[in-house]
Amino acid sequence: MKNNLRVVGALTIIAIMMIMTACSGNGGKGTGGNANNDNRGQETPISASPSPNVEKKNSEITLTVQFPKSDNVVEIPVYEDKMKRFGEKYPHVKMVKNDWWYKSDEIGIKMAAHQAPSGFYVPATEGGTLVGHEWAADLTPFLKNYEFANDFNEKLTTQFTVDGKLYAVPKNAYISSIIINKKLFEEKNVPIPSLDWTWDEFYEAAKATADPAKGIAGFAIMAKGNEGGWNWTNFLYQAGGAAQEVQDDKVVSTFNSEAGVKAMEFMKKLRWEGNAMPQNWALNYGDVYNLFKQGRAAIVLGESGQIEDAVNNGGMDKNDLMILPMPSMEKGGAHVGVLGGNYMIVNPQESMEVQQAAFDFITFDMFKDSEIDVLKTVLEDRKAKGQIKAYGSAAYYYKADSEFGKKFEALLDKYPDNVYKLDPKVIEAMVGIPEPAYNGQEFYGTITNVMQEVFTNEKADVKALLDEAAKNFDNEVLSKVTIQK
Amino acid sequence: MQFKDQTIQQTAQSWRRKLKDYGWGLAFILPAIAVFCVFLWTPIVKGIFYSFMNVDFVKGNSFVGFDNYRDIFASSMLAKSVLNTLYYMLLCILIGFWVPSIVSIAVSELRWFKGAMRLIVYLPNIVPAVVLYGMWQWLYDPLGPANQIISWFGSQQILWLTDKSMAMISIVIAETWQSFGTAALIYLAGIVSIPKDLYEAAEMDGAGVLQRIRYITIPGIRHLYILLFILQLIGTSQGFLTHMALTGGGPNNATLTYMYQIINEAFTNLNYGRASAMGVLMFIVLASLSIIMYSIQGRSRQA
Repeated sequence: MKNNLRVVGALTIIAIMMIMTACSGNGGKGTGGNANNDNRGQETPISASPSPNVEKKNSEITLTVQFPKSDNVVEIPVYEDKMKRFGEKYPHVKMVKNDWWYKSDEIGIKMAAHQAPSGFYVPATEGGTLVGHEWAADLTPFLKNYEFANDFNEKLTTQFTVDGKLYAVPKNAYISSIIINKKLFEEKNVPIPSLDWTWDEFYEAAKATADPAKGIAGFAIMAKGNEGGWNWTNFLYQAGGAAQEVQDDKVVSTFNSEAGVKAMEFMKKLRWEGNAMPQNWALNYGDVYNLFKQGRAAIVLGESGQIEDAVNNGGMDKNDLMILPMPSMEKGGAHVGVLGGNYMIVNPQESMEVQQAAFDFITFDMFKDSEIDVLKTVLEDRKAKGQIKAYGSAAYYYKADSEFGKKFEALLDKYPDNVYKLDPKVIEAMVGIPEPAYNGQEFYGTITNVMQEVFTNEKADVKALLDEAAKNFDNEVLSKVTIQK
Repeated sequence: MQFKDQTIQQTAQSWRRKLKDYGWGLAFILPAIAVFCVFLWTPIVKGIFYSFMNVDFVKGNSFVGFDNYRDIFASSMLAKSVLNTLYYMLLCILIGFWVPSIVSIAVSELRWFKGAMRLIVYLPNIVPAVVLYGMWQWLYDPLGPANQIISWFGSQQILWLTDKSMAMISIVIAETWQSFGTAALIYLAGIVSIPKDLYEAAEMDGAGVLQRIRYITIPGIRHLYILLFILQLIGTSQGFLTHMALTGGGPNNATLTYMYQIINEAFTNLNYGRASAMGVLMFIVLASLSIIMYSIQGRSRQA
């Protein structure tokens, strides 16, 4: 009898497991569209048409719109207004909101679960990953009918162009730069660096502004997670190095070059000789800017977005803040920073109709007066709240000398107290180099480990560490890479 | 023919009886089976399946045989993460295993405030993990309270989270404080179940507190030591949350555990096949460990 019961039990379990497995999706196969997939995101359908006379057509499609998080009260009305206007123009599109925003450790799961919005923002860093995994749609068919297809700023489109095909709509690009807290410089009587500063001047400024007893760091760099490698890559580029290169259809590491050693030795000098870094140097992205906002870091890497955050959320005075180009390694050298940016991609898992709608939504206001109107609303809001809006990107999707660019600038000039604009001389001095094309996150993780060893071990042999890291990275990661052309 | 009919009738009758006896019982465990299927057994089966695949949820998976396993054994991180995990497990035993037992014995010996003490002991478990991690970050700050306290005794500043030799110890201290309450409550329940007359007899025979603990309390909860030891080994072998929150696996992988490496493979490197293979290897090790420990436990009971 016991045996019978065991058999019954086992059969029940197997039956339930089979049912569950059958219910658990399509096993990840197929990339076919799912235009009628309503079960994603927030279930808040927006009426596509304000007019009751417009009846639902058979060809109605569902667009999952990336929507601001509920605490982003500034952006929510902007998005709602855009959705309303879009719905009026495209009554056959039913829109649902989804407040997921790109995270490199979540995108895989989102794509696996078919839960990513129909179009969404991505950072420039992710170009290789997204195109390599075919998680970004080829925009060629949509650009054919797009009236502004030739008006995009070419400086920005290259990062997402593979085999001559564009995979993302650019929004803006920035070059990593330096942000300083002038107040901390003044307190220690340290002169404000000039735009053409060098590593030596950077070192002296970081050392002089540091006050370890008070917990004030001269220079706070990220060194806890993969961001560490991202920060260090700036110094690698300044020393004239590169992270990797293609040799005979193979990608190999080059970060252990002489330039790489110089860049890592500079980190070592800042940490041990200058005692310029925070004693708890294991900081991630948020930690560094929190430290900066608390007045506990004189120099950090960043761009104008962090100025906006420091003023609007950290209560800092914008006059105490300053953006400088990255230092050059030697006098007269290039002030190189990692080129980053914000892009919008179309989800290739959607049907072609939905992909077209996503492209239309993404580009809905671009190059048009409606975008100027949206900006005006935002600026009025910032003015009322005494906040600022940073417009310090190195480049925008439009060409600065175009008619649209001039209109944009004219509006910004009307709000001198609420717009933080980057000094044109700083923009001129900055040179941007894109991030590594292959396995960027893994590269950054590898470098972060080397940085951590250097920060914990005063006698660390930098060259040996970089050589070993490069060897392991080549064997375990880059040797499996397929070259993109 | 008649014999066959009779047999069928008997079998049907026996099934009806079984259904009557066990039907309700089965009905009650069905929801649990369904939940286990969805959240435990299906992922386990799928994990084994994926470990032989190059997992690409969009383009489709492809069978790669034992490639994922080969990559794992060729990885420079494997030895490091396994050794770190073993070191972490050892530290948890040395620093953390005896704490709940001592606390529960101490609480059980209290004459007053026993209830309040039980609540206080369990309090760290109630505080949300995010708050606790924030608190420990602050405690371990180079200029924070922990260093302030040790400076009173003339000790030099300790870099709790950025010194390679200290980082794992700091994590274990934080975790011990955070989680000893649950084990302490289990020990307390065990102590409560020890017959009171044993203590009364011991007191009449003139036994002191230490003798009572040594000869009655500890032998009375001996079986719990084995159970909690196994649970701790299984739990700590999968540890990664505090490591992720406090050190991010650093400095230079000094606190990178095997489980954390699985998370990195899956969510940073987006290599779900290799992460699944690492999970399968861990499953095999833990299942073997459980079987060995339970068989030892069974033998000691028989003895």
